[in-house]
Amino acid sequence: MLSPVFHLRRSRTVHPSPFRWKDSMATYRTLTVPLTLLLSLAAHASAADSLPLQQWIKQAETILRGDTSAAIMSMKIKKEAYQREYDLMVLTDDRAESSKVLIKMLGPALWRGNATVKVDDKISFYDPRNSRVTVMGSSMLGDNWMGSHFSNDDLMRETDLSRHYDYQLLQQQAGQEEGIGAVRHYTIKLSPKPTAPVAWGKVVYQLYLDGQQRAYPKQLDYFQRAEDAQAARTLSYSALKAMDGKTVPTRMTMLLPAKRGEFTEIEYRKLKFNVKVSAENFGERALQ
Amino acid sequence: MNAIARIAFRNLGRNRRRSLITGAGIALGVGMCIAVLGIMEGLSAELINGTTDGQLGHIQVHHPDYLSRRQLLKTVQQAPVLSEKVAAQPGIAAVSGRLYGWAYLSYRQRAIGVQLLGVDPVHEGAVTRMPRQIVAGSFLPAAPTPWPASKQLSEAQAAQDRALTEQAIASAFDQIEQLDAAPAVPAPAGLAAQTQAIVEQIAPTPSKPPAVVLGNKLARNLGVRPGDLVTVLYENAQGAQLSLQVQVVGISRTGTDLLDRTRALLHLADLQQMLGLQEQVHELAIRAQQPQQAQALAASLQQVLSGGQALSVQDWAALRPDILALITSNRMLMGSLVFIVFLIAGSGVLNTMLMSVLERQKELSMMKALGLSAPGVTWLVLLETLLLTLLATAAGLVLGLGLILYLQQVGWDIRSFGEFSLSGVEVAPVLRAELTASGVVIPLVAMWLIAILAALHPAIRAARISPALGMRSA
Repeated sequence: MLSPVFHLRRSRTVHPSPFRWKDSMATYRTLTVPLTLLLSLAAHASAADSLPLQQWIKQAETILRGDTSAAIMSMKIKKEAYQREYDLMVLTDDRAESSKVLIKMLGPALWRGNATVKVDDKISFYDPRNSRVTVMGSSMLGDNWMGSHFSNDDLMRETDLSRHYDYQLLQQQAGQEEGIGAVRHYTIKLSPKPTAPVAWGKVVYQLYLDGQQRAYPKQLDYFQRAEDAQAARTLSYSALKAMDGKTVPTRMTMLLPAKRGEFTEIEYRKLKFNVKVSAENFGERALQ
Repeated sequence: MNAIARIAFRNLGRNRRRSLITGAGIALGVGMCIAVLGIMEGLSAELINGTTDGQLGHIQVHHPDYLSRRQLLKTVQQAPVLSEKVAAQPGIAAVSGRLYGWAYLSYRQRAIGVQLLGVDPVHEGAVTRMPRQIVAGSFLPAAPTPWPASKQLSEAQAAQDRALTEQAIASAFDQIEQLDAAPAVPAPAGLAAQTQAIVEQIAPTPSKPPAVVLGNKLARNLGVRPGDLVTVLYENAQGAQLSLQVQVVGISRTGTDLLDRTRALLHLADLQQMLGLQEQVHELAIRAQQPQQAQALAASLQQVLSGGQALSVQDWAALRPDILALITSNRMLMGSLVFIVFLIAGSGVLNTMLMSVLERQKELSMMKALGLSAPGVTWLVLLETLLLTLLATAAGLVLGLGLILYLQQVGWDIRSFGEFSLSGVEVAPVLRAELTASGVVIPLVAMWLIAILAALHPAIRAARISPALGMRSA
């Protein structure tokens, strides 16, 4: 019953009347002219104005992580009320849409064996003293990690600067970086997209490209509001070194301009990329 | 004069039914107003008591910046000494120190953000009802949890700690190197045990889990009962994240949703130990002997405490302006209600007296013809009104006092309307009236004033009757 109807329809489209054919050709032509014009214009505009800013930022942001990574680092916190140093081991896995992160504390004694894990939107905290895992929601992401100036979000990398933002090149110039040689510096303004789930009103991202067009992060200024003149906090990358066959910045310093003299510094002691990690490395048993 | 009073009294009896109906209207209005004002006073008193006795106390002392930002380090120093000094002041009934903190409470797979409140179980009961708000289990024990003193690491121990860290780092290096190989490297033996020994010295765990009392909704959300062990994850004053096992000893119910959902009570000394804020509190809650004196007492305390550390002393009205505003707005609402009721009663009086004057035109004309002056006639009508009002308000007073007495003893059960709270203070299921002088005097005086105002027009009209015309027209 169905097939004759189908045939009828197909025969109509396959054999249009000559009159109709000519008619549709005319419409096609009138449409094509402005369309191609528009397309070529757009291509032209993008070539002039949009360098692959987003791609550079993605590259710079993942320079210390790769697909998966394992690192040993020390963290130095200096605050008005106290100062403290931690030694940490950090495993990351960015192969899936939602990244996994494990931070295990190696010292000093009071925190040795403590671990923070982020899997999906869940942060778990493990304390070896009472062998308990406390599971917290993602509302914890904005809180400071262990009294440092880094938030859980910074260390767990839930918010991605290479998404959620519009990018605008503010400045570019040639320069020198120790350990690389001649580079080109770029300053990029990141404005959050209207619906982006981000905490900052504006981020000014300074990065540089080496001869092979590889992007390295230099400094990030986070602003509460888009119109703010003073950054709420500044993260800078320095001390380029070769680690696991790749030149990377090995020191990250977070400063709060409002609180002079306070900072948190992370220094990488060992970094290995594309290590073999599985879900097990981020499971409850890995904590213990 | 005497004669006029007699005539006025007799006139009231001449149309008994009319006088009775008007009088009953006045009496009912006055009686009901007295009762409603009594209930309103009862509600206000309950709001104040619910606020001050629940958690606030009459007066509180803080670090001047504490209330605005609630930072952990903005404390009142040397709390024990200060408490004694405050308690020795005249007019102070009791003083209790409190310490606040924030934490994650977890039990099995659930974790909830809570407010930790450290209280002194002995003194707190003299300031607020807190120890009596227990619905299951018991309140905090009077004695704090025995907690070994923390000792600094010796030079050698610090060196050992650094060595252990290096050992852990080396082990982590190995682990990273061998991630690609199959099995994970086990942590070096002894590392955990030695770490444990050091940690026990600098941050000793108490000999038994400290007691904690949870709000009823918090306990339900966590799924815990008295006796269960829960883990507190908190940040101490030095910014260190720590966790500790505590034991739920009781469940409290304040009626304030926020407190019942997020408050965990600990012994003040336990929380001071946990946060590393020995001898410090965020708040001194004070009970005054006379609650009405709170404001004056707060001012004098501020004077007494000046000179030492900077402190701010505030009474409950300054701490909870919302409650005060609620009470004021309730009073204004009731005031307008009383006004409307009396306006209606007043128009009843106006109607009655106008009718009575018009009916008696011939009689009044006759009295005037016999020599009663125009002011005399006015006075007669006013006196009639005043007599009626006096008798009726007396009846109303009896009715109102009776109602208040009943509402005081038995109360008005409002459970059928459902549970409700005002500004976060839960209203008791049975409303009880409170008798105050103003609650009785205001309706009486207002009624008299309105009755006299209402009678003025008929009285003046009666005085203007021309005797000859009045007698002929009838």
